[in-house]
Amino acid sequence: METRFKHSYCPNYFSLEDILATQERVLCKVEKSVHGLGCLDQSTENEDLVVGTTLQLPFWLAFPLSQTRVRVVSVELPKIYKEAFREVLTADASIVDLSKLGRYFYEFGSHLTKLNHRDSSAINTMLMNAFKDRLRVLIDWAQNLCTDISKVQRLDTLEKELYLEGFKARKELIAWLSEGSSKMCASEMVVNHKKRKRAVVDI
Amino acid sequence: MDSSFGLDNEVALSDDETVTVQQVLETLENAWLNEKFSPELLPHQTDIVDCMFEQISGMEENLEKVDQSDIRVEIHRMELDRIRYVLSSFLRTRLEKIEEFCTHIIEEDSTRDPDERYLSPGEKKFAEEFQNNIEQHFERVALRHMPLNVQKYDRQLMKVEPNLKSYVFLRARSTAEGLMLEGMDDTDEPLTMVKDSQHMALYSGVASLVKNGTLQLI
Amino acid sequence: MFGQKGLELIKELNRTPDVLPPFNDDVIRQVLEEMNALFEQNRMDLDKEKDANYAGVHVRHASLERNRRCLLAYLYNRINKIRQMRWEFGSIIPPEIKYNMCEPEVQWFNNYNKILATYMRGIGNKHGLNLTLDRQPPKELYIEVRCLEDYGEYEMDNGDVVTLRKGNMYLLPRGPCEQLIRQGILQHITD
Repeated sequence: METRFKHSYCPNYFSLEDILATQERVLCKVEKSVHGLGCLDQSTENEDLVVGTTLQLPFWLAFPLSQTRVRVVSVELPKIYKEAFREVLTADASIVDLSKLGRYFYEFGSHLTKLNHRDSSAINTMLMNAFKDRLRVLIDWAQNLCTDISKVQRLDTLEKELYLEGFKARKELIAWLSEGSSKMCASEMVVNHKKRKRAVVDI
Repeated sequence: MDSSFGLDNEVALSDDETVTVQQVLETLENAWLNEKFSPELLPHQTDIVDCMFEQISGMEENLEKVDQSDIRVEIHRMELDRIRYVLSSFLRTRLEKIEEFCTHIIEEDSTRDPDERYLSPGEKKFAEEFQNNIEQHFERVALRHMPLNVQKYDRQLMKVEPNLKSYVFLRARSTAEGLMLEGMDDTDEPLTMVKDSQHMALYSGVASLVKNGTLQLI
Repeated sequence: MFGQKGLELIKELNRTPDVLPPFNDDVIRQVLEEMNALFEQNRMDLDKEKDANYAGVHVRHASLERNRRCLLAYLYNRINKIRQMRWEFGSIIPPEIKYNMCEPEVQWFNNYNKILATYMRGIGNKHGLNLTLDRQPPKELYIEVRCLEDYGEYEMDNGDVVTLRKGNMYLLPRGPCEQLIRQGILQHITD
């Protein structure tokens, strides 16, 4: 079945993954008071955000506020990107449960390096190496039909997608090798649509 | 009936170039593969496409005139189907890229000389109308209800661009020496790709070589 | 926190990647309301005096941009799905799906139809080529199919008419069947 043109993963303005990745939170320290927006800090009744307050903000907000001419907040790196944890990942990245620690681990990590923190290049290196280590395991699973759900659940979102792609590719290869590519099928959308229709009627 | 099925016929591609239909078909197939595996839109091949169409019509007409129970008719029909498939797939892939990277492609093409453009006239019209359709939709449903300072459709911010840093598989169609690809620095030796050797490379480094025919994407 | 409603739209699409959910008028309206409220606040702050609440203005502006991004991404991704439908369902969308589309989306689809048709007609020096066909490399001229739904009379390219009844098997030319197979009316039998 001829598939639509597929290009490599490249988040853009409209990417759902990128929007969700930038929703991840970072700990921020307020450096310039913000009038009337005390509501951003749920632990205080204050009408304003006072200098010195620390609070969690989503990255999409924290980043521009840390880059203003007079810095409004300073951002602290999340624990899993700090040195101590980086060492754990360098030791053996494949055992870490990313679904619990960071469902957008790589994307969010890449965004964090924009903060130009002194650890930024170390984070980059760590992300790349961790990805390489875990990818090896992923490829193995996809090729050898790993059916252990608990293992697959420990992947972050990007890895899960890659795993599913690998799985699909393997299926397609086997189909091509055994029956050739000549069987025409109903389009996926049509099949799903019919299934849902039947389900609705059955209810 | 012509047993070679017209593939040896000669066609004039341009004023000074005559090639066989077989060669046109090969060029089309190579262009099709390149387009399939390249992350960006490549220069259009309207000459080849139009030429192939003429040939297909001619061949179809010939087939109609012949005794339909001749087994060769079926085989030739199949050949025509396969050619039509390649044409279809080629144009479809281009269309998908145009839809995906609309704004980017239109912008880039506007900076090129008229005879170096990547979009064919039909594709250009399609791209512009497609872009309009989307922008008007955004305008109608959302943008016009937004506060004044964010109402305008910001093409630069919202442009979707192809990932030129994807990796591609390629084959050298002729020996290429003295290659300096992206990512190599001054201390690296220039590369040589021997004819018919296969490689994997970063697309942005080999894009120009693909477009000038030295390398073939596979 | 600002931008929560915008995020809701994104999560809705992310939850069901295969389905087009009903157009969420309600949440969209709330996002736009939040955007306009933020803008008003900023305008009032800036009117008062220069540099007043510098930080607050930045917070609200970032939230405005975020809301815009979520809203446009919601529309964009829905349009993408609808665009795909032209290639999978043909030029007529099933009523159950159309029910989930808003009026502008239906219009977008109709426009897309027109733009696509004009382009296809002009291919090959006005020869025309239907790009929604020939989706697979052809391997044989005739194929065996089973009819999954009562379709009635179907006229093929060569003028022959065949009556397609549910449950029956037919041996038909590949080309004319392709469209019906993709639409789930016929099933290609290979074994």
